[in-house]
Amino acid sequence: MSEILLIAPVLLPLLIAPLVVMLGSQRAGWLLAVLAALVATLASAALLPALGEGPRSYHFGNWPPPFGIEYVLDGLNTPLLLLTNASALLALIAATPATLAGRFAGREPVFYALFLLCLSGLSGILATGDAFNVFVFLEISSLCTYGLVAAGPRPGSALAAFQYLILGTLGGSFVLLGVGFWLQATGTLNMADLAQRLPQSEYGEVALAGSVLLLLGFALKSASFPLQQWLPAVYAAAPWPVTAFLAACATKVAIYAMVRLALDVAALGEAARWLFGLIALVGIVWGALAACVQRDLRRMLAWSSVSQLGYILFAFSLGTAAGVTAAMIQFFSHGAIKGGLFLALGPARSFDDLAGLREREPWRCAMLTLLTMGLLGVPLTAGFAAKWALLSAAAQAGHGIGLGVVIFSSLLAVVYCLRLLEPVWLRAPQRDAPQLPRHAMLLPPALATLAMFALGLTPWAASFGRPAAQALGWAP
Amino acid sequence: MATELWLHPASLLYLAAALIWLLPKAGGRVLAVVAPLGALAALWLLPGGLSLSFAGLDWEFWRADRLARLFGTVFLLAGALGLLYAWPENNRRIFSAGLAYAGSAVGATLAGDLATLFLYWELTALASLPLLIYRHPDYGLSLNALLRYFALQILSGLLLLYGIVERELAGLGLGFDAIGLDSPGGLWILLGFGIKAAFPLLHNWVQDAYPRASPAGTVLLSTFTTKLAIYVLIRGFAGTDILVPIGVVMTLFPIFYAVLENDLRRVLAYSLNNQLGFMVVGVGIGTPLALDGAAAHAFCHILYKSLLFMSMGAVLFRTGTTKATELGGLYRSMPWTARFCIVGSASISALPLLSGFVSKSMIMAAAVYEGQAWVWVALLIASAGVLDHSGIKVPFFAFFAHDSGRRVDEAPRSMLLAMAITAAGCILIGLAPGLLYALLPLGSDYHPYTADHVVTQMQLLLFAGLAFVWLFRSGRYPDEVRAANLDFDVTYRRWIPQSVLAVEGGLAQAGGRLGAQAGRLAQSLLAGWRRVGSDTGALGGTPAVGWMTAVFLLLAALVGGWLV
Repeated sequence: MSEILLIAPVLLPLLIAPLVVMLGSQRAGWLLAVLAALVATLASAALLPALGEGPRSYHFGNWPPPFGIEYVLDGLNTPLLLLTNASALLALIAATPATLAGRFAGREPVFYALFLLCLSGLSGILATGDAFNVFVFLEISSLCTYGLVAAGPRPGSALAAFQYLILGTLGGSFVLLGVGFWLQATGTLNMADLAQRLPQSEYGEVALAGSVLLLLGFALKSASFPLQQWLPAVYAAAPWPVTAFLAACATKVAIYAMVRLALDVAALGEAARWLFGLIALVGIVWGALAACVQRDLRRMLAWSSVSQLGYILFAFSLGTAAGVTAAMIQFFSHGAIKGGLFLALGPARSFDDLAGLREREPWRCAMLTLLTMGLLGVPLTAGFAAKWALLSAAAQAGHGIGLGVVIFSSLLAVVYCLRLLEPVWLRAPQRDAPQLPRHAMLLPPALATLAMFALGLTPWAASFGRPAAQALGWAP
Repeated sequence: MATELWLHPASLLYLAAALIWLLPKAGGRVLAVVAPLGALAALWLLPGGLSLSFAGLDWEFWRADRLARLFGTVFLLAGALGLLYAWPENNRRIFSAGLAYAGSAVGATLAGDLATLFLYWELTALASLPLLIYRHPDYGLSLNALLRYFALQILSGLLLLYGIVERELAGLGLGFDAIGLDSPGGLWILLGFGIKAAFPLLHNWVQDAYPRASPAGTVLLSTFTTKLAIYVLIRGFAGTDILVPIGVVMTLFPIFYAVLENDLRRVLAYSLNNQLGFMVVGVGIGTPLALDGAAAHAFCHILYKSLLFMSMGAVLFRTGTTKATELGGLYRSMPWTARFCIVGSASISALPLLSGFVSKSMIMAAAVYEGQAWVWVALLIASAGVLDHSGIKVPFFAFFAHDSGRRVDEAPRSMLLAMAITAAGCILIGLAPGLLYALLPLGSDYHPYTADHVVTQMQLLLFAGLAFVWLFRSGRYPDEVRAANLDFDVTYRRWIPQSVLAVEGGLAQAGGRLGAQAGRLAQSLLAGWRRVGSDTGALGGTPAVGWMTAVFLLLAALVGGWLV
C-alpha cells in the first residue's frame, strides 16, 4: 500500500487525463478531474507522517537504481508534493465548466486533461530521483501549460502562450543538454548516483558545464533574475484558475529543481549559493519595484510573485537549517496567499473591475483583504510566519544586506497591497463591472484563506524545515 | 484560561468591533460606547495572566501591572468618549475601526513579551487605517497620503521586528522589560518606537494624516498610536539619555510651524508633537518622578488633547472647515463648544487647577531635581509656545477674533456630552490630582500645589520661578484673549528671545528650500520609476520574445565564456 502511495500523486493524474477526454462530458470530466486531484492530494498528505524516517524510494519495474527509474520522496519534496496537489485541487474546483463559459466550444474535457497532465508533470519533477526523468516531466508540464495559457480569454492569450512556448522550449533544451552533459561526464542518470560520481568525474568541466546549463534552464522556468520578464505576461494571459494554479506552485517546483540539482546533486556549494543569493535579492527588489507601478492588476500580482519567489531562493542561499525552514514556510505561505488571491480575484483583470467590491461582494472583499494582509506579512497570517523565519535565518547567518532587502521589499509591498485594496474599499461600484462567478465559487479562496491562517497560527510548515534540511544534508 | 481569552480587554473590543456590523445602527452605537467600559471593568476586576503557545512561540497576552493598567485605563476611557463623540457621524466603519483600534492599543499595553507587542503594534496600524478615510472636499486623504502614513507605520513595525529578531538571536529572549539602547537590537527597537512617538524627522505622518480624518476619526487617532509609543518607551527605554535632547527638540520645533499654520486641527497636531516631547523628556530623565510624570502627562494629555480635537471637530462638523482665516465669532453659535475648548486650552497650557498643570510640572520638577537646568529652561520656553498656539490661537481664532458671520447650530448633543465629560475629567484631575497619582506605576510622592519638601534651596528657587511663571501667565491670559487683534509675534517675542526665533526661522527657510529641491528630485525619480516599471517599461514590461531569448542566450554565452 505504502509503495503505491509513493507514485500515486504522479501516476493518478497521468492515467486519469486520457479518461477525462474519452468520457467526453464537460461535467463528468470536471468531476473526474477534481476527484483525481483530491485523491492525489490525500495520497501526498498520507506521505507526510512518515517524513522523519528518512527518504523512501520506489523502483519502477523493480529495476534497482542506478539502472532503473527511481522515485525518491524525502523531507524536501514530499511537502511540496502536497502543496502542488492541493493548489491543483483548489484551482480545479474553481475551474467548473461554467467558469470556462463556452471558451472551448464543447472541448472542455481537453482543458481538464491538460490540467491533470500539467499537475502530473509538476509532481513528477518533484518526486523523481532520475535526472532525465526531470526533463521528461518538465516537458510534460510545460507543454500542457502552453495549452492552458492559450485557453485564456484575452486576445493576446495565444500570442503570450506562443512566446512562452519559445522561451520554455529554450529552457527545456538547456535542461536536456545539461542532463546530457552529466550523463557524458558520469555515465549515470540517477540522482543519488550522480551525487557520488559528479565530484569524482574525470570530466569535471563537462560536469560543471552540465550543471550550469541545468541551472540556466530552471532559472528561466522559475522566473529568477534576469529571466523574469515573461512571467507577468503569462499570468495575465491565462484563464484565472490556471493563473492561480501556476502562481501557487509552478515556479516553486522550478526553484525546487534548481536547489535539488545545484545544491544537492551537483553539490556546487558556496559558489552556487552566493549566486542564488545574488539573483534572489535582485529579483526581490526588481519584482517589488515593478509591482508598485504596474497598471494591470494581474501583472502587479505576478511581479509580487517574482519578489516573493526571491525570498525562497534567498532563504535557500543561506545554506543553513534555519534558512531551509524559512524557505519551506514561504513555499506554503506564498502558495496559499497568491493562489488564494488569484482565486478570489476571479476574472477581474483591472483595478477598475474591483471598484466597489465591498458593496457588491462582501465575502469576496473580506477574503481579498485578509489575503492581502497575509501578503503584507501581518501577524497571525502565514505571511508573517514566513517573514519572521526569513528575517531570523538571515540575521543568524549574519546576512545584513539580505535583511535590508527583505525589509525594503516589505515596505514596497505596502504600496502594492494598498493599491489592490484601494478600489475594493474606496471606489464606488461601476456599472459594467464583470460578472463574478457564482457564490459557490467562494469555496476555493475561502479554503486558501483558512489555510493561510492555519499556516500562520501553527508551526506545521516549520516542522518541515528539519527533514528538508536533512534531505539537503544541512542538518544532522 | 478560556475565560481570560474571551474577557481579555482586547478580545472584548475585537468582538464588539465585529458585532457592530451585525447590529442595527442604533444598537451599534450604544455598543461602541459600552464595550470600552466593559473592557475597562475587565481590566481592573480580572487578575490577568494569559499565556498561550502557538506558531512556535509563547505569547504573554495579559500582564496587568500598574503601568499597563494606567495606560489601558486612559485608552479605554478616551475610546469610549471618542466613540460617543462619533455618534453624529453614525458610521459603522468608524465605530468598528475605533473599537478595533482601541482594542489593539490596549492589547499592546498588556503585552508581556515582544512578540505579542509586535502583534498588536501591527494591528494598531491596521485598525487605524479605516479611520483615515474621510470624504471631504478640503480634507480627506489621497491614496498617496494614505500610503505615506501606512508605509511609515509598517516601517516602524519592521524595525521593531528586526530588533526583536536580533535580541532573540543574542539569547535575550522575547521578554518585554527594560531594553536600553546598548543591548542588541535596542537601536532598531528605539527607532521603531520613535516613528510612532513622532521623533523629530520621523514626525511628519502626524501632521500629514491626522488633520485629514473625520471629526471623530481625528479624536480617536490622536489618542492611541503616539501614546502607545510613550508607553513602550517608558517600559523599554526609561533613563535612556539620548531621549532628553530628542524630547527637548520635540517640544521646541513645532512651535514655529504651529504659529504659522492656518488649519486649526493641524495646529493641534503640531502641539501634539510638542506634548509628546515633554513625555519623551520624562522618559529620558528616567527617575521615578520623571517616569510617573511622563505616564501622568500621557494620561492627562489624552484627555485634553481629545477635548481640543473634539471642539475643533465639532466646528468642522457644523461649518465644514477648521481654517483659522475662515472662522471666528463662533462663540455666539456654539457657546458650549467654545467653553469646552477653553477648558482644553487652559489644560494644555498647564493652568493651575487643571490637569495639564499637575502632570507637566512633575516632569519639569524631575528635570530640576536631576540638575538639568537647560532642560528645564527649554521646557519652559516650550510651555510658553504651547500657551501661544494651543492655549490662545485655537480658541481665539475659532470662537472669537473677527466675526466670520457664520451662524450655525450648536454641536450635536452626543458631541457636547462627550466634550462635557472629558472637560469634567480635566478639571477633576486638576482639582484632585491625588486620584491620578494613586494610579501611577511607581507611586511617586509628589504635591503639585505645595512646595516639595525634599528639594534643595536652589531647586526650590527654580521651582518657585516655575510657579511664578504659571501664575504670571494665568494672570495675563484673559487680557490677551480679549485683545481685539492679538499679534502672535509680540507674544512670541515676550517669551522667546529674538535670536531663537530668527535662528529657527532661518532653519525652517533653509529646510524649506532643501525640501523643495528634494521634493523635485523625488518627483522626477518617481516619474522615472512609473515609466520604467510600468507594463511597457524596461523594468516591469514584457518585451518581445526575441529580446528575452537574446537575454537568455547572452547569459548562456557569458557563463560559457567564463567557464572556458
